[in-house]
Amino acid sequence: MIEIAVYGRGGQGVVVASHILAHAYFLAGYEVQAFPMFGPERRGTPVQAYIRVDAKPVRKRCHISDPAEVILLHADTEILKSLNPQLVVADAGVVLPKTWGDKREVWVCDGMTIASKCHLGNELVSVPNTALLGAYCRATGRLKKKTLYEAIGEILHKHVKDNIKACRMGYQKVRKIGK
Amino acid sequence: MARVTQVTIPRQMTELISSGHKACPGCGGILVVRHVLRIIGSKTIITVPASCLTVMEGEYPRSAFKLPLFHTTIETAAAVAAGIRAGLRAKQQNDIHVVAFAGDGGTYDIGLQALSGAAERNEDILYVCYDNEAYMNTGLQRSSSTPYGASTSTTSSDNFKTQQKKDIIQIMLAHNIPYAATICVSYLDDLKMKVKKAASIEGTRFLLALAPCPPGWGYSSDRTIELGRLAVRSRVFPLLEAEHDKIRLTKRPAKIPVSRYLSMQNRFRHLTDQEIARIQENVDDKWRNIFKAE
Amino acid sequence: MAAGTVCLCVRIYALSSKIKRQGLIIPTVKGVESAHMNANAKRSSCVPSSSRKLLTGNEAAALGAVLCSVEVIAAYPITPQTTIVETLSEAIAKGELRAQFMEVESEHSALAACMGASAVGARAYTATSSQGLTLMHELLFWTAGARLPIVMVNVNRAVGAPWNIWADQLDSVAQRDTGWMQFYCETNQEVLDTTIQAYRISENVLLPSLVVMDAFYLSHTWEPVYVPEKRLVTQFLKQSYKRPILDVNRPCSFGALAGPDNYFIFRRSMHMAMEEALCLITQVGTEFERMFGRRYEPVEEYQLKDAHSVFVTAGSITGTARNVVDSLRVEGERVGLLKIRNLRPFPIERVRKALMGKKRCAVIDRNLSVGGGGVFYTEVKAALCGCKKVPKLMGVVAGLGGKDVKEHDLMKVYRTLERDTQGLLWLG
Repeated sequence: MIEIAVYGRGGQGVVVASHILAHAYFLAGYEVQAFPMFGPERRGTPVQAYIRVDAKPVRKRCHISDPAEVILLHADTEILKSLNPQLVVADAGVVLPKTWGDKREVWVCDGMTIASKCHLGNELVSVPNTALLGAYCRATGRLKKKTLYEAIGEILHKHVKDNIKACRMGYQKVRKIGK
Repeated sequence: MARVTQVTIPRQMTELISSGHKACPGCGGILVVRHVLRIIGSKTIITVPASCLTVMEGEYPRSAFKLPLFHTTIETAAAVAAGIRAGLRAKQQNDIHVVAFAGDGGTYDIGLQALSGAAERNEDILYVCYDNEAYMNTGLQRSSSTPYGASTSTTSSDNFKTQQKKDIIQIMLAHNIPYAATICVSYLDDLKMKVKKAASIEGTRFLLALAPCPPGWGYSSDRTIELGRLAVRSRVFPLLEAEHDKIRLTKRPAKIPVSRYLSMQNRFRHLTDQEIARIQENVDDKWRNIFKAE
Repeated sequence: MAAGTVCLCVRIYALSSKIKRQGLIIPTVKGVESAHMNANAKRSSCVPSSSRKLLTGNEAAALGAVLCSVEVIAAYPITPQTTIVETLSEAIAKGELRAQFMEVESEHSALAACMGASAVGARAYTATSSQGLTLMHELLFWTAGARLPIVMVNVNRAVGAPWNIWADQLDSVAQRDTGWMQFYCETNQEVLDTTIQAYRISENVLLPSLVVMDAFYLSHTWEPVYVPEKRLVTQFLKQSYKRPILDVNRPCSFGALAGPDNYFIFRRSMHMAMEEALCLITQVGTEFERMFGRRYEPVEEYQLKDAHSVFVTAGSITGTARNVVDSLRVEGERVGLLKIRNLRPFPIERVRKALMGKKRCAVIDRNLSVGGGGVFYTEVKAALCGCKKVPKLMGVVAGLGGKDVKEHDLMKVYRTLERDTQGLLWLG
C-alpha cells in the first residue's frame, strides 16, 4: 500500500487534487481510498488530503501520519519536519526543511506560475493543484498522463481544458533536485 | 332569557364529525372543527397536534372523525401537514385538502417555528388555530395567547397575566402568505365565506378561530355563541381577512364596551375598573390600527 | 467472511490484468504488495453487471436514495451530513430523481414532514447527524409508534457540549429505544446497499430504519462502490401488499389516544415486528446477494471459527480491526472478529452463538454511555448473561469525538486482552 498526502491551503484545490489523483489510480485499476483532513475548512487555512493506493481493497480507516509520498502546494516548513516521505513533489514556493537532507527524491515545479498562465484561480490566489499532479505523474511514472487527464475530465465540471493544460505543463516543467 | 340566538344548522350528509365525541359541552373548539370541515368537504386529510382535539376524537379504536387523521406531537402540525401535501404531490393526488387543526399552544408557542417555516416556504396547507387562549387540555395554564388580565391555573387572579396577547395574525402576515383571516362560530356566514375562500387559494392559508371554552373561561356552557358575539361586537376579536398584506374588516358591528364581554367570564372577574379601562384602551388602539391599515 | 467479498475478488482479478497491461505493478516504495490475483475468478458469472464508481459515504447514501426512487425528501443541513442533501438536490435538478424536496427549518420538522409524507403512502427519506438526530428524538418515537417505514441516514458525529464534529456513535446509540432499526455500516458500499435493504425491510415490518456511518471515515472518504442498476433495485423493492395509509376513500386515524390495554398491545406488536425484522434482515440479505452479489447479516464472523480471542466491533473500526486480525493470524495468534451490524433489533442469539466458548472478548465502542460504558459492550454482556462458557469480557472505549484508532491501538487492545483483562479499557 502507498500512502500519499497533499498539503496546501484552503482555496488551492487540495481536496480536489486528492480526489483527482485517487480517481486516476482507480481508473488505472488500483484500489483506492481518499479523504480530506477531517475538520471544518476555511479559505486560507492549512488543508491536507490523503490517498491510499493498493492492489487489494483498502480496509483500514484511520488517519495517515507517515505518508510515503507528499505533494506540497503550500506547507509550513516546521510541520514538514515531522514527516519522513520518500518522494516529495513540491511547488517552487515551498521551503523544504534542511533536516530532510538529500536522502529522498525531491521534484520541484513552479505550480503557481503555471496556474496563473493557465488562468486557474484569480488575481488573489492561483490554483496549482493540477500542475502539481502533472509533476507527480512524471515523478512517479506510475500513472499514464492520459489516465490523469481522463480523471481531471471526470472530476472537474469546469475549466477542464485549462486544467489539463496546467497538468501537462507541470509534467513538462518539473525538475528533479534531490537524490 | 334569550341568551342564545337561534341558528338552524341542518344536519346533513356533509357532517364530518359524529356525535359522541369527547368535547366538553359548549366547546368552541369542536364547533370550529365541525363547521370548517363541513365547508371544506370530505376530500380532506387532517392532522392534529397534541391539544384538546386529541382527546375529542375519542379513544382507539373509535373515532368521531369521518376523515383520515394523523395525530402528531404538539409542535409539528404545520410540518406534518406540509409533509402530507408533499406526499400527495408525489402520489399525484392533487385534489385533496390538507388541514391542520391546532390549539393556541401548538400555534402561538411551541408550534410557531414549524408554522413559520411552513409559511415562509408557502406550503400548500390550510392551518386552523382554534384559540381558547390557554393550555386547556392540560388544565388551563397560561399561553402566549392568553389575554391581558386573564387568570389561569398558572396566573391566579391576584397574579393575573400582565402581558398582552401575542398578535399571531400580524406574525403570519409578516410571512406574506396568500390568505389569513379570523373566524368565529357565532358568525357562520362570515366563517363560511372565509373558509370557502381559503379552500380555493393555493399556498399557506391561516385561519384564527376564537374558541370560547366554558370550563377554562368560566362561563355557562350554553353561552358559547353569545360570548363569541360579544367578543366580536366589543372588538376584542375583530373579524378580518387579509389577502397577502391587504387587510380588511369583514364585520363592523356596533361597538359595545369590553366590560360586557369580560364580565361574563370568571377569568376576568378580579379586574378593577382601572384594568378594564386599560383593556378597553388597548382594544380601541388595535381596532384603529386595523382601520388605518385597511 | 461475507460472501460479498466474492465479487470484490472477481473485480480485483479483472483489474489486476489491467494493471499489468499498463505496466504499473505498484511497489516502488514501502514494500507495497503486488496485485492480488484471486483463484476464484471463475465465480464471476454469478455477479450481475453494475458500474463501479469512486464515491464518498455521503454520495453512496444519496445514490442509495436515488436508486430507491424516494418520493419525498425533507432535510436540514448539518456537518457532516450536508453533502447527502446536496447530492440529492443535484440529482433532482438533473432529472435523475423525481422527488419532492423540502428544505425545512429544522431537523425536527424534517422528520415531521417525512411522517406526513409516509402516512399518505410516499417513500420518505431524510438524513442527519448528531445534534440533528438528538433534536429529532421525540419524533423518532412517534415515527416508530405510527409504524411509518421511513429510512434515515445518520452520519455518526459526537454530541456536544463541547462542540465536536467528528466521528462518535453516541448520537445514534442514544436513540436505541425509539423503535427504529439501526444498521451500522463498515464501508461506503455497505451504506449504499443497506439503504436499499432498509426500505425493503422497513416496508415489510412497518418500522423505520436508521442507516448509520461514521463521520469522515466514511462520509467524506472516497472509495470504490459498486452501483447497482436502478431497474434491479426497483425490482428488489417491489411491494406485494398495501400498507395502511391516510386515504380519503378509507378514512382512518393514526396515533389516536389508546388506553393502557391497547397501548400495551401496540408496544408489544412493535417488539414482535422487531423480532420478525431480525429474520427478515437475513432473508432479505440472501435475496440481495442473489441479485447483487453482496451479502450482509445482523452479525458477521471473521476468522472466528478457531479463535480464542475475539474483537467485537461496529462501524468503520471494523475494517481496521480486520487488518489487525490478519496480522495477528500471520503471527500465529488465534484471534477473530465479530462485526455487529444491528444494534436494533439486537441479534442476541447470533451473538451468543458466535461468542460462547471463546476465551476472551474485547468489545470496542466508539461511543460512551456516561456512567454505563460502551453501549455495544453492555448489549453484548446482557446477551451473554446466563449462558454457559461465557468468555472474559473487556469493554474498550475508543475513538470518541473522532479520536483516531490505528492498527497499533488495536494491537495494544489485543495485548491487554491476552492478559485476561476484564472491565473497561480506555483507549486514549
